Amino acid sequence: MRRMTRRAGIAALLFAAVALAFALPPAAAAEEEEEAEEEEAYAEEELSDCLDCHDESARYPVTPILATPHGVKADARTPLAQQYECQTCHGPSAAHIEDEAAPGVRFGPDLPAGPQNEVCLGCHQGGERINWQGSVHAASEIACTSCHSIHVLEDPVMIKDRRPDTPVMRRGQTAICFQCHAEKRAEIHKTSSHPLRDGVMLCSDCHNVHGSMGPSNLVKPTLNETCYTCHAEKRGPFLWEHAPASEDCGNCHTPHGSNHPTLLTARVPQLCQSCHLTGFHTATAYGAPDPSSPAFGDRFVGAKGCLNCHVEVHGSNHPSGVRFKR
Amino acid sequence: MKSQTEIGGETMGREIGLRAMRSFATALLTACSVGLFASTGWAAEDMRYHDLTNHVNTLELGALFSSDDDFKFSDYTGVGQGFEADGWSILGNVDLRRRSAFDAERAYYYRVRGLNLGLDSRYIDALYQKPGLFGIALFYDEIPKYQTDTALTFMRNAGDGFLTLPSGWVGNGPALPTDSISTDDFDGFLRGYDIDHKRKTAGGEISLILPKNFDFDASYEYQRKRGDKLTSTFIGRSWSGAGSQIVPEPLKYNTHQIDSHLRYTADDFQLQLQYYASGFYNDLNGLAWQDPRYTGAAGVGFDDGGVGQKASMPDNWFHQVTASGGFNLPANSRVMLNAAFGWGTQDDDFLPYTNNQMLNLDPALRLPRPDLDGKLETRLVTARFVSNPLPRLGINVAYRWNERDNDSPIDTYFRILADAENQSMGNVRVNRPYSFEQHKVNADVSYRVFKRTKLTLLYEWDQMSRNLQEVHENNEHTVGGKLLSRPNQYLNLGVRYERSYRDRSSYDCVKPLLAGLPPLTLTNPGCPTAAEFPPPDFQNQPQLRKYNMANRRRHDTHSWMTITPTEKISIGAHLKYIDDDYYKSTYGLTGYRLLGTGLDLSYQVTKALSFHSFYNHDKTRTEMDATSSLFFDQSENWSSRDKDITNTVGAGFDFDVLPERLAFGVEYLFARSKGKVDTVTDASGPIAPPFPDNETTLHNVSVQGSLAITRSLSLRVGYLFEDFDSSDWAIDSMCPSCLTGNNNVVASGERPPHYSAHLVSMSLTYRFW
Repeated sequence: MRRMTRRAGIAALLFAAVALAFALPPAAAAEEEEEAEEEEAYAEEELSDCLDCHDESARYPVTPILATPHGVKADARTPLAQQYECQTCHGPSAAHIEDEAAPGVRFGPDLPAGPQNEVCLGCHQGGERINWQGSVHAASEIACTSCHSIHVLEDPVMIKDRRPDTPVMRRGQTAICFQCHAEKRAEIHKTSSHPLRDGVMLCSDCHNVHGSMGPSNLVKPTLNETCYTCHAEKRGPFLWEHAPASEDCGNCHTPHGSNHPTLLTARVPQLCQSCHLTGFHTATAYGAPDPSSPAFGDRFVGAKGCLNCHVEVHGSNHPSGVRFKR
Repeated sequence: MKSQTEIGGETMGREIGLRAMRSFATALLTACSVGLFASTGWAAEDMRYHDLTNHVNTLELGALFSSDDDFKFSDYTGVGQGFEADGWSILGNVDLRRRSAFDAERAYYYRVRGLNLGLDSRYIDALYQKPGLFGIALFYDEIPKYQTDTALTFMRNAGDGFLTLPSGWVGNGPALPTDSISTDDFDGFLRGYDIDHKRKTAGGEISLILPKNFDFDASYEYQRKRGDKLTSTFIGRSWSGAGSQIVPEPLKYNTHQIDSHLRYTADDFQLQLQYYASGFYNDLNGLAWQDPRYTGAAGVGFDDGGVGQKASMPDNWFHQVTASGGFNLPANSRVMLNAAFGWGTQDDDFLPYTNNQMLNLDPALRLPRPDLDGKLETRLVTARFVSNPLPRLGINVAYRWNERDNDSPIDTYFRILADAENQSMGNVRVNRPYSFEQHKVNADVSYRVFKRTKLTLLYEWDQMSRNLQEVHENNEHTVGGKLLSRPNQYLNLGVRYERSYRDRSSYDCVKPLLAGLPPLTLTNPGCPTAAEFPPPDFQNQPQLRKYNMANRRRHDTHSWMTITPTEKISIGAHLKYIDDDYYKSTYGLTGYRLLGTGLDLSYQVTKALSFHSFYNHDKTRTEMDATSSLFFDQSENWSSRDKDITNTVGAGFDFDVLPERLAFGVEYLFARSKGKVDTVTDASGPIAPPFPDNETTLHNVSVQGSLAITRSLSLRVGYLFEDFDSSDWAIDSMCPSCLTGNNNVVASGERPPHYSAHLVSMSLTYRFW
């Protein structure tokens, strides 16, 4: 294990060294290039000025935006309802319209996220995005356009696809999240997982990726409150509480996938024995159960293990339920 | 589909009839919607753009055939559970929408969507909006959970709140702890019982755009969960003679949720006021059962018919008011404040201590109160300040206060283990309402070393204090750094490293125990020495440290990189490593490691052909040390080392053979996980037989193709093959009577899932504008 630690440390250092080696010269060049940009003027634009070039055959087709919430002239909040229409988001683009120079504000994966996001936040900083600044995605310089596509009829990240024969890698939002969160993609294929694979649950059911007051961008202020939105029966307060369950579901469960039943972090009885070594059965070193010749200890290991008797581990409301049996 | 084996064809036929009616109703709704949508047109200004921006409405109808109805394969989707035995289901998807022209004076948008209409995982929603004015939405959602179709029970009335014994059953009395539960024909009484449940959720939402930058929305949803789960019930008399059996418990859960927001959004500051409420109602107060050891003979314990009872999950209500605000400040700075106050109640009526009236007649057994009258308050405040005072410098400071205050009344309750025979009236316990309080501070400073390279240094302090537990206070300090770099369009990489130290106040190992007993029951509080190890013997080993409160050192490293040498090729890699050392824990969890690596590759071969693949490997290892000795005899030490190793591989391609005419895609996924438990005992101690490995293997191949027959009509064909195999030593070969010899646990007999299933779909999609 010590060797594994050392190997991981070396790998991380190598990664950092490679990062620096790659980062230095091109970054400096990019800096000069961007500082050389000049201020542009707004074009007295007509919609057709943009759409004539950015039609279906263009490299960056944009026409479908007219059939999205951003393309509603009657809604005073939309860019199309503003004086400069497309330039509301893309900035002054007179030069671009004249000779295909870059528009004032450009979007794309190879450009800095900050200026791109400022444009979106100009209208979308309230509500669910009120905590965007300083959130983990903002700090990681994720651009809104890394996940959202707005010049299409339907933003892929918003598509619901429940077809049972759709592979998870083609399920809109889930696939987009997994582009960065590859380890979560692996976890949902473990023996026990939430139904992300099946399309009946989305990452956004638990996470507000735009920042929240909860840990890990959860939709509710705490992990437990997030879990209770679907598992309200476990909220309590119970007459007999199991302290780690009331405090943090993550003490025993891992949310994305586990090789153990019911998303447990480890096997029962070992998981329970991590905290319970009392004078009787929980202190015993158990081996595999032997159904053909059951020993007394098998009742604590086989079938549901500790849960064969102590089944109400989330809390009991029976006046005699102190041991979570009833 | 829910059936004990005896249920006959009439019920099945009725079920199929209901399904057919549901499908017909869905089709009718669809047809009406089509008519509605087809009749709506755009106000025209420039038809050139209008034609390009019309939404496509789609109606898809077809059939789905599943070769297998294994519960694991059907889980969450309902495939294979269609018209019972034959595996056929209707494949129906609908997406109808209409939007006014982009330049219409009166804008509108509406949409009706139906997904998986022929399956138990159907979803329907409808939305109507006047952009900039209001919106209204309704939805209906079904999610099936198929737990197991291999469970067995000898109890009757499964699915009901009162489980009865089969006629002819002969109990053998509550004599000795070594008594067997078996009767002459144990297996003959067993019946198969499906364990599954379904969530049905319906709700709606309204949203209003109000004057002066205000907007409001409110949503309500009702969720009904019906079906069964496996639970355990005690059997036999109290104390040494008690055992248990795994039986189905009906789920009759109802949850109401309300969520509403009032917002104000301006350029420089935004405010939001939220009210959230959740109400949970359980139609089942408790589960009762006839005890299989009841002989019918008086005076041997089951003095009142031998009926046991346990409580179900109690009703509860929770309300929360949250105020949030974001304020932009000078010098590229912003402050975000959130405050949430919640309060919960739980006053579900208590069940009596026991069903046994012989015991309940004892005046000492009066409940101290009819219900808990539980009260819970949560308070949470977060504040964050972010600033870029200099173009290259970023500051991010956050504070979080999180408190759970359980103010439920404390009383003394008798601990009646089972509903039989006289028990010690002195066996009393005091309930312990747990509360905690957390303070957390994060601060990080980032500096843009180069235009596209940012270095961040971070610090975090996390303090958690609790009542009634072994440790009153934990403090965890984390320091670390992160490097993010996008030096050019070809490379994007990051490295993060964090080091955490968690310490604690003194470890009072009997504090929870003392808190749960009436005053002065124990006279020697504090962690006793070996010689002082006192009765009762159910206190934890004094040298055990519960891992969520124990001293811990943590290394946490994460590195990732994406290379795009050309626009067509993307290569991604990541490495994650976590190492937890519970360095002061003699017993309990002493170590945890996680290593995760992955590689992704995608290649856009041509405009029509793209390929992607990935590989993930993750490995976790937990280390636990323990002793089976009451008196700290080192020779009885033992340890357990658990490893979980998972490899996941996926690859696929998409090929537009004839653009917008013929396309197909292929996807393959392979996942294998292996779980190992190595329990090692000291040479002189008892020997624990080795655990077999638990293995799960999944192969999944899917092919999807679509052919546009005309502009409006297309054919879609899908094929999926999935092979799943799993082993689990806890239930492999564990028949219901396997643990009943002298152990008195009646198992469910369920088997680990394994299947090879083919899923074929064919459908016609009609598109119209």
